[in-house]
Amino acid sequence: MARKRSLSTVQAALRILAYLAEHPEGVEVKEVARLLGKSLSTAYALLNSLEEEGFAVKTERGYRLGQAKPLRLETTPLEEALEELYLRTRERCYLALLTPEGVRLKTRGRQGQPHPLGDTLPEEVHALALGKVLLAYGALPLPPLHPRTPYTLTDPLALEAELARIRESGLAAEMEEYALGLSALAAPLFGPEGGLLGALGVVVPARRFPFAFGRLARALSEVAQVSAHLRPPEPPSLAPPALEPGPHLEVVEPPRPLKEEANLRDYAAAYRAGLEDPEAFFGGFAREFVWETPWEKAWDPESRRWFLGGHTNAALNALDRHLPAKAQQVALLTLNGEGQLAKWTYRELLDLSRRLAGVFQALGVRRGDRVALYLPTGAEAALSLLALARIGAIHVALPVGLGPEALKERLLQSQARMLVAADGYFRRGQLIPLRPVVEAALSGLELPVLWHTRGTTEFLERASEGKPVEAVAVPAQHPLFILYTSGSTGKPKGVVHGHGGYMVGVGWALRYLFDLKPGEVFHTTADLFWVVGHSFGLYAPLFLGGTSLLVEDRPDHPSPAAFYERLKRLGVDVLLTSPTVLRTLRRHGEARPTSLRLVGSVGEALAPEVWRWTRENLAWPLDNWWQTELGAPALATPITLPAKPGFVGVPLPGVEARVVDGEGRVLPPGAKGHLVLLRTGPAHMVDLLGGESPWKGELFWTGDLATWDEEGYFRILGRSEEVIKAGEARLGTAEVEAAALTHPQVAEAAAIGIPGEEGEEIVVFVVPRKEVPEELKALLAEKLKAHLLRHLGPVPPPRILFAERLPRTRSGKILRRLLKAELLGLEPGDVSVLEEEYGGTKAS
Amino acid sequence: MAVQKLLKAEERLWAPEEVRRKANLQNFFEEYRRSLEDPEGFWGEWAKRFYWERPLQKVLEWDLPEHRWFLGGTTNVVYNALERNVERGLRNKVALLYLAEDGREEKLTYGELLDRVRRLATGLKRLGVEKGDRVVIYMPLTLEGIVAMLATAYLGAIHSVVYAGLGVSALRERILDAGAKLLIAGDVSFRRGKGVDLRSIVEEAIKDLPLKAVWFQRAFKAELPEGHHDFQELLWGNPPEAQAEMVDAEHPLFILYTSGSTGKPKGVVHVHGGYMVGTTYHLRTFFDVKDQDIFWATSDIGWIVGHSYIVYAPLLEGITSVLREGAPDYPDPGAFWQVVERYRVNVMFTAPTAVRLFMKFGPEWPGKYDLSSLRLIAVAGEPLNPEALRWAYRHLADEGRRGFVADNWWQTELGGPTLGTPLVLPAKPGFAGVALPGVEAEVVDEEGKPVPPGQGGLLVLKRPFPHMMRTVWGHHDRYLQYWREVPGNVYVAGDVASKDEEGYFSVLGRADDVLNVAGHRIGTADVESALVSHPAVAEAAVIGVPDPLKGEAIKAFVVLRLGQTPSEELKESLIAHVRRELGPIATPSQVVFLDKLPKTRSGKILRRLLKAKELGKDPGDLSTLEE
Repeated sequence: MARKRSLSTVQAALRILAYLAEHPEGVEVKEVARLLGKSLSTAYALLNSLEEEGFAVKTERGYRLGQAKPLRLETTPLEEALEELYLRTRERCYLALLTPEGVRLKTRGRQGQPHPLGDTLPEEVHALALGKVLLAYGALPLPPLHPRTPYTLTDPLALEAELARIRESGLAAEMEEYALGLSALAAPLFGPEGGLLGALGVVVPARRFPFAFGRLARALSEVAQVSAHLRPPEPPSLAPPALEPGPHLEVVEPPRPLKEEANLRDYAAAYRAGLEDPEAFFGGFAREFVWETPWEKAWDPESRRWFLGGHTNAALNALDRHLPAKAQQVALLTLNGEGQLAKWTYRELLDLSRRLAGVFQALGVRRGDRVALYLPTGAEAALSLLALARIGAIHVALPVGLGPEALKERLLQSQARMLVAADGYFRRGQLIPLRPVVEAALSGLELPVLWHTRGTTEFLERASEGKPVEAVAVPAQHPLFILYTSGSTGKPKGVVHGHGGYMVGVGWALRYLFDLKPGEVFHTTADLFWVVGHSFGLYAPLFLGGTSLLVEDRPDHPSPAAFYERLKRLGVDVLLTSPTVLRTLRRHGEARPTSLRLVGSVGEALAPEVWRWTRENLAWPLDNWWQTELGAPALATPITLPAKPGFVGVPLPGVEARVVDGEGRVLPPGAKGHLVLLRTGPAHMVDLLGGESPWKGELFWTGDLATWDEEGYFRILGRSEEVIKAGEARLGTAEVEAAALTHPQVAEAAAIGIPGEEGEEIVVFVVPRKEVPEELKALLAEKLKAHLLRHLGPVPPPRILFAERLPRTRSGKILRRLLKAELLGLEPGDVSVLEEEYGGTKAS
Repeated sequence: MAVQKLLKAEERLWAPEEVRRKANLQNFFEEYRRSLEDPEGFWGEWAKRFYWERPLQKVLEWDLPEHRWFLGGTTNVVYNALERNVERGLRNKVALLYLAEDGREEKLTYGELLDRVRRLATGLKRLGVEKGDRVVIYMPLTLEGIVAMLATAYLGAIHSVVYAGLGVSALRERILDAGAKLLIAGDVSFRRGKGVDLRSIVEEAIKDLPLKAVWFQRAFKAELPEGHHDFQELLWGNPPEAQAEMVDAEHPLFILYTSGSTGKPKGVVHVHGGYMVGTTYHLRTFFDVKDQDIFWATSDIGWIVGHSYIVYAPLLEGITSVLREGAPDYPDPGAFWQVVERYRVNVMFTAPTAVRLFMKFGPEWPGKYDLSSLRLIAVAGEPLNPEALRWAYRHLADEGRRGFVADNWWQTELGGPTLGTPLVLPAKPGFAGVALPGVEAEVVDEEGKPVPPGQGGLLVLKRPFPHMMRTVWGHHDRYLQYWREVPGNVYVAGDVASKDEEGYFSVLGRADDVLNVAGHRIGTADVESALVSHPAVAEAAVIGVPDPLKGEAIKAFVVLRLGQTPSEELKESLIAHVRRELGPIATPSQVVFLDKLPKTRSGKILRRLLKAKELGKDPGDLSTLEE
């Protein structure tokens, strides 16, 4: 069949030439089509190729015979194969012919299609499908492995594995490895003696590759079948290539303007001062706030308490302190799920929150009472927190999305005397009802509820009817709020933060770490009811008299473009978000221009790939690490220090950190161990409910694994309960995930260990950046496996599974135990903290 | 005089002690004396609060009627209003607070406003707008309308806002007179819960004109013809790249049309330097605005009050300015007071017609709301009758325990308050107040001689101030006319006034054929021409008759063409015709058909006779009458 058609191609060409010779005045394309009984496009294709060869000349009305005498009416079978492949695929096709002079390239393709190669094989031949075929059969020596695009396979081990697969399957694939946006397939051509004659390939735009793959592979193998009955030559054994040096550590200097205009210029001096003289260092900053009674001691090493003896109020310092000077300044911008943007001035917030405080008082809420809130991010939630803080009551924020069981458990545990709840919240534009959840959680409980009915202003109207209440001064240690830790494992713990130290700690971090300047707009994508939302969505920006943007729905709803547009229109300068959000954005490709100056990342380890993407697409990334217990960042890379992507950074003023072994012995740089803190900052919790204190003796055990380098930079490797013991190696899940993320095809990755023959087997769930067709999955999995081995060193080969999405907690942490349970067919356990959109990994 | 009898001469209404004690301007008389004795030092000092790219060489140069201010200085009003304020830390302060009738609000901070202005300016620049070009703006009272004004001025181009209630011929006439290169228009304005179509008016007005247009489309996005652009696309499709064009202090900032007694409307020209300095001076000293105040001028950007006190002066001073689109009594007569309560408005600037409207609804409406924030209610636009002042003082200012009612008088030509009652002085019902700093006012007879206190005469200004008009666009002769009405090189305001022994002026009404309907100046000639343009009308004469709400209402006398018979339908048709041509504010409330009109021998219509007949007064000297 193939041969017959290829002959007919040549015959057709001859018939056209004869017809052209009869009509020196020229012929139209449609005449040729009629003559051949073929379609116009076939006629065009044939005439085009005749023109390329010089047999025909294009005229105004069509074609006439060319000046060049038709010298070579005979074509070699290989050239016919090229022609045939083109006619079947209508894509740009290549033929690499092995000649005594070297490899000769011939190409054929419709006009306008890319022609990236020229006539000679480029040096990066290993990036080409065509080149891989030639390498696989030993027709070329292995060239130096230079990357050509981010997708280029430059890893000798991985290349060797891939070449072996080509020999097995007779098909080579190139996924944007040579030119971005282009993918290709190639197959070998063998002569009658079984000698390799060359290779035949076809190139298509990468966006069409998944859809065209089946068609192209079929055409290619059929056309290549002209020699299929012949045996391929013995595969050559390539000399083992020299290994490239390992992934070197990158050190990136921050941009000069950022560094020179930083609010904190001399980090080292600040760090020293923070440890040596907390009284002067944090006390000096704390004096910017209003204290009814000054503290006796800024920091007491015995009790680890801050500002003992001082009396103040967080709400007073968040609002009253800024009036009248900032009365008409916007304090909060709120964007609710309905898409309504509202701006709240300090005057309005103060007015409403002092009246709402009056409403709470009228409902019997007193100083020290606990009030639970089950509200989505928004003005109503922010006002409630401020109103409760105002009267010295303790707010217990429970993020929407918690199920009835989890909600009830927390209501009971916190001994809340009332609940403020919304009857719905928005996720991806959908109103999700909450009333049934609340009612289920409240069954059997005698708890009054103050409802916020969505779509109405009832709540705000009710608030505005209250009798204004002045802020009460409370001791610095007086509880401001309780937050239950999201905890990827175990039972929730109630972390209690106080008024005084918290205020100083988060305020300091916003000004001196996140470098917020007066007049700038700050935004965190975190839910207001997580610690990041409490500290940096609400309290710290207001403590500093700043402006903060709160958004109810997902940042990328309805699209990442909308996110960028929002940042641009509202002029957001500093963003604090999570690696999850950054990865999601990265998955959608290039960002749009924004006014961002700095992007903080918190919640889990920020992989170097995502760090780089953030820097190139958004702004300078500021990685930082902390926990609900700590209230504010403890480790971070301040903007005056060089960044080491993959390393979160150094301890901040007030914090002392070490890496220790299981017994608490300090480990040297480079060694993996447990991250512990010897001292913590002023925003440290004042109490912990229903859990074991992380303080064991003199050490605060963070539960994270880390290493540190000689310069004191820490690298977080994952939770210590998330260590994979594969063979001899102990790998943090974050470590494996970071390695997987360095592959350009990987958007998200989650690593788990499952019981295997030698200790545990590493399983990596991968969400590919682009859709991967079934046929290519095995191929990509192999590429990834080779990639991981190269990055992780001598470990047993990991297993790669593809997934559409990963199970995450609402704060963005991967729920690895759920993946594990799914894979092993076990009970998933408590999934109350799971992000609601997760519908199973659909692993394949 | 009859008017004097109406006034209780002894009546004095004072501002609360507390308000007086905290007044920005404490020693009014000393300030006033200095402003006249040393105008150079006085205004030069105030000018220092602004950014001048090239410092000014000389504060003033008078060669009356010509006057020039801040010579040699280059600046830009919008730069001073936005960049300067953003740089001094007001980026996130609310600059403009837009309110719709339904309570919907939109706040724009100084930072956002600058961003939008620069984006739109970039867009306008790409459409070919350059320094000195005229841009006509026909927009409802919206943030976008203000952004359009500011973006135009940012480029050194000259805006001419036409009130989006004026009709087809009024708009067309202004576009042509200004020689506009571009029109920025809205498709709809909202009033009383309904959309008012502007698109068809604009389309008809610009028919066959070689004019580019930018449409602010709220009703629906129409398919726009070539050369027409969508406002939002132009704004958001362009980067905030444009830079403020620094212009000479005397470079025109805007043209604003106002009616005269004869001929076409006059394009009053104000300039960057003097207007900036003068309007802000009065914002601080007369309106007594403090940094953290919420200031609400209830006017529209189509009028001078809107230009000076919704847009320019508050923004220049970094104040939060309120704008509300719609009717003051919609959805209910408490709408205004709800705004005052909700946003804690401190200073309000409104019109006598609005006060009379509130009077009509009764004190229970303001009484329902917490107006404790309201310190000052300034009123201007037409004479504030004593009853209205007393009512406002009692019910809006809590009998002077909470605040003060400050009458003031000025004109499009004068840019800012000229006569007024500063809050450190008592208000006298029936009197607008005293001459404000920088102003030398007098009441004179037709010879230019001052008349004795208590006697009526022409109100004149004997010297210019920085924010006074510079010329009439394209007709400098008409500018000179203001100064040549009476001998002595004085500016004749066109109003009849009297002055008492204490220097308080009482403004009685227009001296010419200009009507003042709800504070809007309407030339009788405009309405007459509109009537005559109706095919059924041969001749028309228009007079103003007293109206309890609007101050004056329009009454038209019409002589029909032969063969036309008077009918109710024809009346309706004439009224609709005028409404279409000139807009709702110029609509006659009555139409009377006559066989002929009283005329002088020179053929001028004797409105005096018509008016006298109408009001049952002595028509006066009729010696020039034809018959």
